Amino acid sequence: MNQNAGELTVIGLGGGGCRIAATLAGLTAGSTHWQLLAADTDTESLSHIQGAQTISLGQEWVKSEGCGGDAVLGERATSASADELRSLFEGSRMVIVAAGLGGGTSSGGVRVLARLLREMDLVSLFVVTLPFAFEGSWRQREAEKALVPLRDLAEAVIVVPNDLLFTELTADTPATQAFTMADGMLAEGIHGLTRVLSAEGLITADFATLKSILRQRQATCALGVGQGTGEDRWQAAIDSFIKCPFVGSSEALADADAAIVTLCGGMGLSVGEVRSCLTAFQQYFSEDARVVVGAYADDRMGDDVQITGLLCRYRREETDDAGTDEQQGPPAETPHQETSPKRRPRKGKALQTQGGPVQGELPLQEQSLGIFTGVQPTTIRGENLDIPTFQRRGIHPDVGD
Amino acid sequence: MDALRNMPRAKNEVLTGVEIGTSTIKVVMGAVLPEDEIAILGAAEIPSLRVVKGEVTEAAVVQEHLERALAAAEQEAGQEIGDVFLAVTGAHIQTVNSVGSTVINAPDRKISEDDVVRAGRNAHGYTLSPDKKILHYFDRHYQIDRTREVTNPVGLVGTRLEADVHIVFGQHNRIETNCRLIADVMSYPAVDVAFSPVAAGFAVLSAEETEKGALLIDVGAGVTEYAVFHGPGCVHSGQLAVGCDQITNDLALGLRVPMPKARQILHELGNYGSAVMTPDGRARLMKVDALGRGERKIPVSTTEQIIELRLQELFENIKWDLESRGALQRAGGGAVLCGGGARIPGINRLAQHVLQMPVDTARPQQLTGRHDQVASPAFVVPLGLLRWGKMMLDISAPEPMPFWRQFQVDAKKAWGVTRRAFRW
Repeated sequence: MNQNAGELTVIGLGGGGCRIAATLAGLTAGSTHWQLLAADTDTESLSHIQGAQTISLGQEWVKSEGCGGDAVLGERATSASADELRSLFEGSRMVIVAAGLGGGTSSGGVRVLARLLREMDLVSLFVVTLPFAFEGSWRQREAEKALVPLRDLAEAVIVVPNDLLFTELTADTPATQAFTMADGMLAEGIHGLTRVLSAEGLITADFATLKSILRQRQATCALGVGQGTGEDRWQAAIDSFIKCPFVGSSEALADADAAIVTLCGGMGLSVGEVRSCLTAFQQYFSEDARVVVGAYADDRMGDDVQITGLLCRYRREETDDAGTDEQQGPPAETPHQETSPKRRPRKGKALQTQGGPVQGELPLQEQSLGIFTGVQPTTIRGENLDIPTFQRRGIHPDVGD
Repeated sequence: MDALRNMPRAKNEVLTGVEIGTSTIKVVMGAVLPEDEIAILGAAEIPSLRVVKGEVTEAAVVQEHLERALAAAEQEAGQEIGDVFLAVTGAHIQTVNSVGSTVINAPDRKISEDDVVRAGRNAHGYTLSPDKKILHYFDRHYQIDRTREVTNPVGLVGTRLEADVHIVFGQHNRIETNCRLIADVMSYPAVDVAFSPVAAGFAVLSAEETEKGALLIDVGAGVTEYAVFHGPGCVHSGQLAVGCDQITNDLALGLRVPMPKARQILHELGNYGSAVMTPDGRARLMKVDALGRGERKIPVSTTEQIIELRLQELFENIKWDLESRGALQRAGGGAVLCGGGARIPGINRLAQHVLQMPVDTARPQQLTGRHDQVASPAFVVPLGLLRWGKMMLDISAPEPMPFWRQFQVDAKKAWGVTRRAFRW
């Protein structure tokens, strides 16, 4: 079972990421087929985490106190610990980064991690949450600001707006339970994904397959979890997977270019059962979609079954609209989404069209030609390439003042 | 030094490659020995002014610099400059892939040399406006009966032959501007002109690499050119008038520093960072003298980000063009980078990330003689011109007329010449 040991590293970054890492540690209970890390600037909260190796980031910058929501501080702190992180990632083939965007450490740190992973040429998957609306608009903005560069740097980014969870929550749910649910669902998803690789399963996929799916250019992904029990448990699991707030509707499945699906059942799970479920499940996907399947048995499941899936859609060239709607599926169709959650994916869309409404708070990026003023412009597909790239992308460089 | 001693003394054997680049004018004198080795006799590099994006904007200034460069090379070689070959580039150079077909009329349906020439000529039927001048024809491949793809169809049986050719052309007057400069300085014209990445390919790619397929990217100061070599020759090429000048300009505007300082930052990048953003760049600070505002501390990551964004965009644009013209998959052996931009630290890794293929810095192949100065990725274009020129001269030797005249007036002949040339 240790065939894949050390190949996979999961790292939780910042407060939210560490909570996910802790939840994962509970789920796997000492399974050794991966390396679990929790990294934060706040040493105090790190000390509560069990079952994961902890790294306190950039102590010379933050003095163990956390970043207090300052993304720049978070970026500096993570940069300062880059060497330590690099040595921990050494030997891994794939790294999954979990972070709750909006906090200082996570918003600043994901960029540094993305760069580090890219430099080390590791397959990377970022699972990030956007904060609940009730956490305040400032956190929202920080999270969205962090997401823009991340999409360019990382190979695959799964964005999970926490607000989508409201479709499953009632108004009187305590806030702590909302967080626990969000963490739990992500942890389940990551867990399911990693099980595809683990050699103890009935059906496993090899690393190269996973890599080729994630390495496609700029995949946008959604993560879903579905559970079922009783007589028609597989169909129930499929239905609950589709209704899972992060997936949205069956159209999200039909639109997917690739999917990594893990089935999990009790010890009595038979191959025939798996096959009939897959046949039923595959109907939802388009014919061209590449569906990678893993199945494993777990005695803790009892009679229950669980489906976890990662749906990927590749970015079509230059078509911004087509490349964004799939992100969380078209949620407008599901009946119980008339209220606030409907807006979140729209925000996600604004994010991808860079320089859109999200940047409204920042001063408008001026465009200048410098020495190329008066020179015949180099134009490609309507863009004047003589204008600095960073200006056209709406990026404000930090020039130390 | 054996090579030098064996070197032919006759004047016409000494070839000269000239590249009027955006940042420097480079001249290399040498002879191509029988084993395809290049023996370097002399070389010169003079900073050029009034060349913008690979094109001459003020002839008098450039002519003076060109004279100095040629004189310096001549002095170093101790010989007179012989046949001059000139590289051209610029935003006006365009490429097109065209298909021509012919029906095989022979009773036995065996494809003959004539059929190949006829198919090729039909492909050249691509009509250009009279202000355009064709620089190169290359066959990409032949198709028989629309089903079989072959590189040499002669002797095969078929009913219909299609030739797929790659044509490189540019603005006649702008090419003529550069040719005039040489003619004015030397009092005789350049023997031949070549599109710079095509010439560069001759300097750095071995026959095996070409056979496997290779992408060459020449990141110059004003223009970045690229060419894909596969099988019999060049299957696609192109240019993008974006180069190191744009990076320097981006840095000047982004960091708010004067151009010379920006250039210095780019040159010294290796001391503190790379073109691919380093993860700890944010925590490291570099001091910059601001314009009238005293000293500032700028995170290294800012500089790296500006450079990375620009280069990444450049490679993405090249990739887009190669993909849309079906040339990317032909570069099976990977890519090589040359030109001054190839010296930017980390650029190989960045190109590798974007192009998803192995990337290496170009090294000139098989040099002897005084090659210390020219064995850098910046000199590959004039070096390649020597090998290219030698090939052109060999092919044209039996012709009674001066070859350059033939080549210029007779496109059909040039086509046959190039085709034969690439069957090395």
